[in-house]
Amino acid sequence: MECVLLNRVSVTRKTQLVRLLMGGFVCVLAGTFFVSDESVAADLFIETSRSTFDPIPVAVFPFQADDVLQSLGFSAAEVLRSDLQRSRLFRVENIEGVADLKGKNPKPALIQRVSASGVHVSVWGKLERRGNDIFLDAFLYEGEAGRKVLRKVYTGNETVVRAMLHRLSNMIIERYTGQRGVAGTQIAFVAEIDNGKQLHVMGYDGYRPRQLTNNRSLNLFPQWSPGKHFLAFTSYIDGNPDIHVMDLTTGEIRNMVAFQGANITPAWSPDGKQLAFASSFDGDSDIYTIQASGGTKLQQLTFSPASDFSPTWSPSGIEIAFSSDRRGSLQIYVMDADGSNVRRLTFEGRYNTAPAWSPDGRWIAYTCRNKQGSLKICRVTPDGRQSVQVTKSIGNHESASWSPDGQHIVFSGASRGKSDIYSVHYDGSGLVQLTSGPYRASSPSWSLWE
Amino acid sequence: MTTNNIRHFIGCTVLLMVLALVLGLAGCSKKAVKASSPGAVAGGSVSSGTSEGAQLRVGDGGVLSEVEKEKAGDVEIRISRDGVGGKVGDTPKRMVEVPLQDTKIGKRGSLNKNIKDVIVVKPIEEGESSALDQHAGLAETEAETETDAKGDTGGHGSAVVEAGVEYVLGPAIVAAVQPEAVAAPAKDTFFVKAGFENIYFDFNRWQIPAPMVERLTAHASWLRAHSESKVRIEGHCDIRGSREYNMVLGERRAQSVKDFLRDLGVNESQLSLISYGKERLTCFEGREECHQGNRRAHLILQ
Repeated sequence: MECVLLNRVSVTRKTQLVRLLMGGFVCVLAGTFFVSDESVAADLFIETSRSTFDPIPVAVFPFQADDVLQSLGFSAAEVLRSDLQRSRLFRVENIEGVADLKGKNPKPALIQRVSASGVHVSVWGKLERRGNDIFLDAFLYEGEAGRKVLRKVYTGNETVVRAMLHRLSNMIIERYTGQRGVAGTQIAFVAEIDNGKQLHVMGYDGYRPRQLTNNRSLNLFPQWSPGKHFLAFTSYIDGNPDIHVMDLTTGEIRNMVAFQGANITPAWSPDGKQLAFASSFDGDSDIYTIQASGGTKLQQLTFSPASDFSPTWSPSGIEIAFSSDRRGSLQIYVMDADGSNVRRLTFEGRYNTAPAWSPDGRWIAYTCRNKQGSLKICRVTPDGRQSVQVTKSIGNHESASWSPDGQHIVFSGASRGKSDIYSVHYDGSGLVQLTSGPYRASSPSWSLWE
Repeated sequence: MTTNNIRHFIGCTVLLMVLALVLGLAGCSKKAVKASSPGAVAGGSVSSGTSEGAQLRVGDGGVLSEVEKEKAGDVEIRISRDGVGGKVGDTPKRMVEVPLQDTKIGKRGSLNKNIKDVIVVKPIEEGESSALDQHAGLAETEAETETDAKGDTGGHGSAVVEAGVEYVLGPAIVAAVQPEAVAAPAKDTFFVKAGFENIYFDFNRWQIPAPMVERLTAHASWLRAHSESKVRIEGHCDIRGSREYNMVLGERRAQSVKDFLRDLGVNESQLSLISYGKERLTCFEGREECHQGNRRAHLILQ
């Protein structure tokens, strides 16, 4: 529900009233559709995506950092601005004459001037080194008077400075919109390197991709565990595509499923206790689950002679969506988590696959194929009623994965022999490229909350 | 895996040709000579005025170079090699065909991978003797056997070569095996094939296409004749489908090949399969030739 809570910003009475009414109106309107029984939902479906939301103007003064961040290679204010802009809930405004400040504490007069120009939220902070720790001291100013309303102090060592800034951004986002920010979350992906494919991880904004595996083999389909401690993936390191799990705190890799045949597309249950995957060991690809902790208990969920694969759990853990060609064309189906009650979800086109259920349960993103034959990202409601094409840019798009707040989809886009990871708002706007390395990047997986 | 001793293949051929050359020079018309080509150099002159510098240099990590031959013709040479670590005189464990046709070499990639131990020799000049002569006797014997066993179907011969010794297939040698009566137009390339030819599939399909049946049947024959050998069937796809579904499709293609071979009498135990989906593309462009080249089942001798 995109009810934007604006009541904490003290603005002029008139503006306040208008905003209250707008917010209230949107709430009521959207609420009508969510409160009513979905089985009699009308054709009209109101999208309250962030594109229709009026972003809050915000200003970020240059931070005072002395030499603290020289070695880190990024500017604190820039990280903040980027986080706020990416959320699509804020519009970062430029402020005139701040370069002269040289990061020093902005005087009240300056803040008031900024506020009076319509930018009612502004941020400033300073970073200090004290011994081995870095202190981030952040200040929030609100309203036409530019009153200081909040001070937050973060401490940590150098390696978490960027994480501290992300936390600050998330705090600001949540304060003004009630939405939890995803700054600081991570995206795992596969990069083609030296004839192999290796797992990598980068910040949600593409910051500093680093290599996780180095085994000269093929490592595919990474999936974050809910606790963010593990990555499940398919690897050929033992000579066959097997399901492996990597413990990110120790680097240890365990082979979990080594059946004969192709063991692919692992997916964690929302409680992290089970791993669903597809295996073709009995002749055709079917979906199974095992205990994530190991052990021999194996449950088969699909039994058709066709190929069933690419499972994805609903956030409640009650259902699993998957791909199957059991009716001759490749489509998305949903079943209960015990394999019963299979129903078909997609009916348009003949090539719909790789479903990904959003963490808020509202959508299932998937790979669809357009009339020209190229792959795009589409999304469908879990009841199958509404399906929409999300991406429209050139190239073959696939491997959709959701941000933890259900607002953004990360995917791989390939064209002209190159492949990179992109992020897009679920309504298709705000497309941004995250990787730009010399390698082909694919199969992104967005971690859960920081 | 024993894909590495291609030197032995080429070497055998070369050795044979050298032998033929040598014997031709000597004016002998032994059966050994016949083994290298039908109605071959019966005392004919070796020097043929062929283009100079035409050397087949393969597998030393470099690019295969084109061979200029003025009178190539269609001479089929079958080379045998001994296994890894084998020595002169060992029983050949694998046969490789080296048809001298108009296919192009000079490509990098999988060709080089398979024949990286092929060896290079310098052309033997008329009257010159070489270290290869010492093998003459052995080759002769082999060649004779070969001829007797196989008859004259276009020139077969085999010989065992010594690992590490370099052999070159030069024009002078090739000329030596040309049947004098043949005045075939110059074909200027070699095609060296080591192993099994790929099976190519139609878009989104895993059934063996009709044009591939003959090829796969030949593979089956070979596998039946070498029932102790094992082959791994890899299934691959082109770039256009989804990553996950291509793993499934690749496996179906490998399974198709396996079923076909098994139905033709190859032992199940000789066959294993693995899918690579679209994870091992040989070409990333948008052209149909590129896609077709990727939609393949690749057989590798284990």
